[in-house]
Amino acid sequence: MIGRALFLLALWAPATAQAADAVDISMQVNAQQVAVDETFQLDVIVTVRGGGQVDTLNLPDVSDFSVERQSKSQQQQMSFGGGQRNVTATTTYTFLLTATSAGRHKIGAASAKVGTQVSTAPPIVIEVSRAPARKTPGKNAPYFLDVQLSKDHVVVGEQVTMTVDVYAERPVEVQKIDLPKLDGFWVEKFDTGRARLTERTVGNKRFYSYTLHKAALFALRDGRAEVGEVRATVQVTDGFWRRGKTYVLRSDPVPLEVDALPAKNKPLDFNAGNIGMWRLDAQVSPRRTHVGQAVTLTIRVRGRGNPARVELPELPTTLEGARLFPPTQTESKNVQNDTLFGEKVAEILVQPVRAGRLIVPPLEFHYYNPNAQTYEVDRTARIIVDVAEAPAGGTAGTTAAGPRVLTQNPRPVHTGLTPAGGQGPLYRRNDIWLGLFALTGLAVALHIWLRRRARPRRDKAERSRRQRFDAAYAQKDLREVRAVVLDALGAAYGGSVAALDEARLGPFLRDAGCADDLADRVVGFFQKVEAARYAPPSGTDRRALFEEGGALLTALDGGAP
Amino acid sequence: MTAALVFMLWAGPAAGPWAEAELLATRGQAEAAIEAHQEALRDAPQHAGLHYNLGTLLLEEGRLGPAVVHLLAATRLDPSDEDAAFNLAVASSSRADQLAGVGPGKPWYEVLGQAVPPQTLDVIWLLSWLGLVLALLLSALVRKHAGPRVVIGAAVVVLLVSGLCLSRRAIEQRPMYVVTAASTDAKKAPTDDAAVAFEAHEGLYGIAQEHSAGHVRLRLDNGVEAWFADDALSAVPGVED
Repeated sequence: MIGRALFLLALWAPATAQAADAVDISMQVNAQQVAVDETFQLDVIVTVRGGGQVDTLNLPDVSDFSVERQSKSQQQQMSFGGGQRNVTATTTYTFLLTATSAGRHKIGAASAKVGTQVSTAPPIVIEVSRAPARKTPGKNAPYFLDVQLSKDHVVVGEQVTMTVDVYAERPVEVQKIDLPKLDGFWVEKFDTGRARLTERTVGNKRFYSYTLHKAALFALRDGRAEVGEVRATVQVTDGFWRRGKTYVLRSDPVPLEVDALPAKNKPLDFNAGNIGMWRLDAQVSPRRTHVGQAVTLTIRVRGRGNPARVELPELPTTLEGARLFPPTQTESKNVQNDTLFGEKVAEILVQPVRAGRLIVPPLEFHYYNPNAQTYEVDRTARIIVDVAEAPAGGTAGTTAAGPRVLTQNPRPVHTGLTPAGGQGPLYRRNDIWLGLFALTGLAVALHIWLRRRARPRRDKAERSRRQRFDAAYAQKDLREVRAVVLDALGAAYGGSVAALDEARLGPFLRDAGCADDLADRVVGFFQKVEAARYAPPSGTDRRALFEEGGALLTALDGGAP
Repeated sequence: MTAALVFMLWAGPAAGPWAEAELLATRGQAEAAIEAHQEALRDAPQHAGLHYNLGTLLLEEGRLGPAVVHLLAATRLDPSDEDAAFNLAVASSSRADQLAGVGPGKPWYEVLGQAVPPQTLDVIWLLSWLGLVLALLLSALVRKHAGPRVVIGAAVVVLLVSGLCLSRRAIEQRPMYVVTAASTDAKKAPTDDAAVAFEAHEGLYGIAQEHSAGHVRLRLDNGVEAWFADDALSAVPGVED
């Protein structure tokens, strides 16, 4: 019984440890620039973590396009880690869409809701031209490479996204890709994951397409730039066992016009890496301190652009009333919707040397916004830090390892303390242990007393049964022996035993705690007695039946199965 | 009578040095709040909350050694206090000495004992004893052959859970010391002229293994052992029986 409970507890425990549900929805297209009558693929991917169900799903509005085909696929993954069971279900809705008219057409936003969590995928704009936007390489070939740049005209330092797709009439396996040297560009490669197979029509021919490579390019100098020839080796897959012919595909070079930064309104000493959309932020923590106790000044630039090329504004090297330690700089980047974002952070330890107000002056950050085509500036406010005198006898200051600065702000003091609140756990108290031992001792004593009190009554009943059995044995009365055994069973496991048929007797006895072999013997005995009514056994078997009855009586009354 | 009871309920728990200590702490009068908490601790030395508040105030004031003493006391007296564990971690990561290596690892019973929150362990422990008492009484009243097996099962559960509690008590009562001097030499032997193993700084703590000639041999969390002079250390208030 206890084992079963522990087993159920073990099953239940990991289930309760399962993470809360989380939902994520995203949309992907395999082309954002198509010609009229060309087909492209839209995938809406809904990922649910935690095993929950999507309550509400709003698929995007694709009424600007003709829907050629629509399908849905599902995938579920289960993993165990960190003491949790993690279930991730991914559902992909695939739309094969055909552009029917020229212009800028929008695929609407999509959203999914699980419990209280809502995830939304932003709309996607598709540029549809009357004729193919540019010459498609190997348009009539069954396999070709397509290299696209998201813009054909940028300023120095502005992001342009390069995408390399392979188009194939039949599924292919990409064996190798050779990218050109991208001299004159700062390159940030995007992780495209496993090549995803999508469908598209180009020039009335339907192709499978894979994205092989995607990267953000930032031109380092103005003038005419070029993304050179890309080469890819692909092998046609003809079923699982057969491999087809190998092709080496080559793309045409793609030109890019790069303009210099405008001279008009250009700030003095402007850093050419500060291109994009950026925000400047400065913070001091904590804002109250005392002499000798250092605070941290954090200066952060974050936004859209190339964080590796951004330069922080000139950092303060001196502050009145404080000693500054050399700054530490970190940077991070991430990609959202094929756009590079990131931040650059400087942290400076500031150790006040006298009491009063420590003032961090405002800072300015200039950047060029290519969308607005203007130079812009972001400023921080002046920061004031209250500096108290050092505590008397305090040890604030420096140790051999440098200034003592708390790595994080500690949690605040507790309020509402009560004298009773500090007693700690009960298992630590000896009086509780003594009380429990005393209670258990009392229970043992009571147990013994109750057993002894019941003993004479029980002994009398047992003696009576034994006398009845002996009489029945002498008279060869098998029905009486059966009645005596049934009586003993009722005394041991409850009077309701007598009302049970043979089929239910065994399970009842086991549930009541009877040992399996004893329960089997009892059931077997009753079956044989019942059979003896219709087919009297031989003398030896009949005697064995009486002896079995006597043995059962001893086992049940004696309590030793 | 009723009026007196109402007054006691109204004024009871927060009156006296408790209220004063809290008030001073919330007003930002750190030094006065520290003194008030020390005063309150004289009356209630086993009060985890007071140790936590005092440790936190000392930490905010940059007095790392005494802060660690009281935060350690708070975590030992109330292992479920997450704030105390957090502030102790802040103090440990802010001290000059950072431990290298991961140490020998804890024995399984210690890991198991500490995996269960003390309040939960309390409930399981009391329920197991209650189960044993009920099993004893029911097995006497209801005459069934399952009786002895239920009693034995309940007794086994009581033994296991009580073993966990005792192991946890033993862990909580181990003598611990904190370096409260700004810096001191950690030596290889308990003599003044012994070789220096490393220089220890305020806030470093360990479990006492041995006392000898005015020195204490401490085992740090990473398993390193060294001798420290008595006068550079402060004992962490232990859990009283």
